[in-house]
Amino acid sequence: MQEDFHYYATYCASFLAGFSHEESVKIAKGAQFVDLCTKTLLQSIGAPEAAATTQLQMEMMDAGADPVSLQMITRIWASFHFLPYDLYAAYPYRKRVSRRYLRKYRLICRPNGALVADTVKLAKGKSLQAAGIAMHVLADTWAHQNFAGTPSLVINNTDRYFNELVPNEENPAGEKYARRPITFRHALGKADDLERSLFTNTIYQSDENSVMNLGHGRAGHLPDYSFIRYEYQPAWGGYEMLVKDNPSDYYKAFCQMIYALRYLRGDFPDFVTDTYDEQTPAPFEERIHQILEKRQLSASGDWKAFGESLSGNEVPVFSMDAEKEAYRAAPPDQKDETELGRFIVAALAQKSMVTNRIYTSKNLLAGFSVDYHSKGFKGIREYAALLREYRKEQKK
Amino acid sequence: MTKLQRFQSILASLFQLLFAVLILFFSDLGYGIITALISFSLLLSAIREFRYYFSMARYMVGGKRMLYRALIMTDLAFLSLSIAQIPTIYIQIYLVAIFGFSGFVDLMRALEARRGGASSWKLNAFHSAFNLLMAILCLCFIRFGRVTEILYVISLVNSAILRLITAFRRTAIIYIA
Repeated sequence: MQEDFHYYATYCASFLAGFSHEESVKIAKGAQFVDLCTKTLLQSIGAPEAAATTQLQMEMMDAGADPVSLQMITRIWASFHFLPYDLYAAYPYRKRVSRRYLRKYRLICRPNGALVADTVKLAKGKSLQAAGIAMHVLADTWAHQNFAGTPSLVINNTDRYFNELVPNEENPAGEKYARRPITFRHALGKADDLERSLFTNTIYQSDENSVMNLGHGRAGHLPDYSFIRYEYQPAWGGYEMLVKDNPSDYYKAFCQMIYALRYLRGDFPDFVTDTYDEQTPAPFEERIHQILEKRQLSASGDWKAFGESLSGNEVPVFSMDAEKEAYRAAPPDQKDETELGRFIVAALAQKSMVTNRIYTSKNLLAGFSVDYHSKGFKGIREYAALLREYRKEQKK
Repeated sequence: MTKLQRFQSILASLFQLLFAVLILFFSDLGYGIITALISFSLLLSAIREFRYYFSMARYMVGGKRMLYRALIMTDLAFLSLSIAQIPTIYIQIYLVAIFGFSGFVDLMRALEARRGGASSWKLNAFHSAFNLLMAILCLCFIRFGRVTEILYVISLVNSAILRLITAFRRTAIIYIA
């Protein structure tokens, strides 16, 4: 997913869930920060690097393939962009698989896993920025499903066989969709060519832990476009063809976001997975489907117009500079109270929670987790912000 | 990092330092050690590749390729062991390529960090300058084997220090329920 869904659609979902215009903008900004908060950005404002929620290409190249670097990469991508579905899953295609394989297989992202519920519940009673992070993570479980947030050739690689499924206009009486072959190229910086079905993906790297094999890199940006339907053979999938219907998945993501946001507002006592608020957006369903199905590289303009028609207010164009400046200008003891500061604290909490769940499933791919209540404060010092937050809550 | 991984890192860095000392003080052994190291690392890679195939890659689409790679790598490892003397020029070209590529990546990283306003660009720029300087020195002294040996020793010591630092880094994440 891109800015169109993470920023503008999140704004629409927040407003529909009952938040005010100002609150909805803050939630949407929190969701969008997730795609921009790199180690480089955090260094530039003197914030804790451990709060990084994404990585620049050069940061990934720089990271290396040693266990510590791989754990750092996995913590970022599994916590915020490829939330694992089932950390105790069995491999369905064979009875016997190695533990090494299984650990990677269990990090495959899918919607409605136990971790989504944990993510949404973690944001309950916290800042609007925390709600934004939860919405980003939830939405990505729909877009990025069937890929894992760790570098892995055996999970994330795809076969050459890749087809786009387009409405069958030539033979409406026949199959609903016709197959159009997709061609991948490695042209960094070049926009995808939708007319000729030419998409950019990462280069094939036979090294299992190469960053080229992270997430949906081998499938290019296909999972990020709301309009596309496609079929392919994932490396993990026992040679079975998998069909991905983005318009349908994105609509479910939108309805689940509204439900989750209403839970955060207190409309429901509990957040239950596989539950959607389809009633609230029902009057706008046709318009939303039109936006989702429109063949375009970015749907930001359409979502922005929809959001503005809902609230009657202008949805500001997202800019990181003002947030960075506010964080820089704040005195040290006030930094956690700025929008970016609140986002950083929420990001650390999300990363800590997901790392803990992966670690307690006896999987070390995201690193070690130390329980504060049984062992005290140990490990990376930058997570001290969580302790400050915890003490504040205890005082309250 | 598990305790075993920490131990492996420390052991590997100690071996690197040992080889660096051997190359530095026993110049007649220098190239022999370097070629033995290359053969040994090829063999290790082949074993790792076999393990990778049997434990993971055979389940994936196109996984057989890993098995062929492992076989070819084993062959290369034995071939390089059986060659009594590899012309030094190949090792020097290898070093130029390694230093040059690392320098280029560090330079890109430094430029990106500077664009983003991160203070780490100076450290990246320093690494880049160091690696590029090593590549240039290797190229300039391609006829003088001893200089290349010394440059290789420097890179070994550098790698050993980085491994040691990694082994002692704090890596655990606190969790407050």
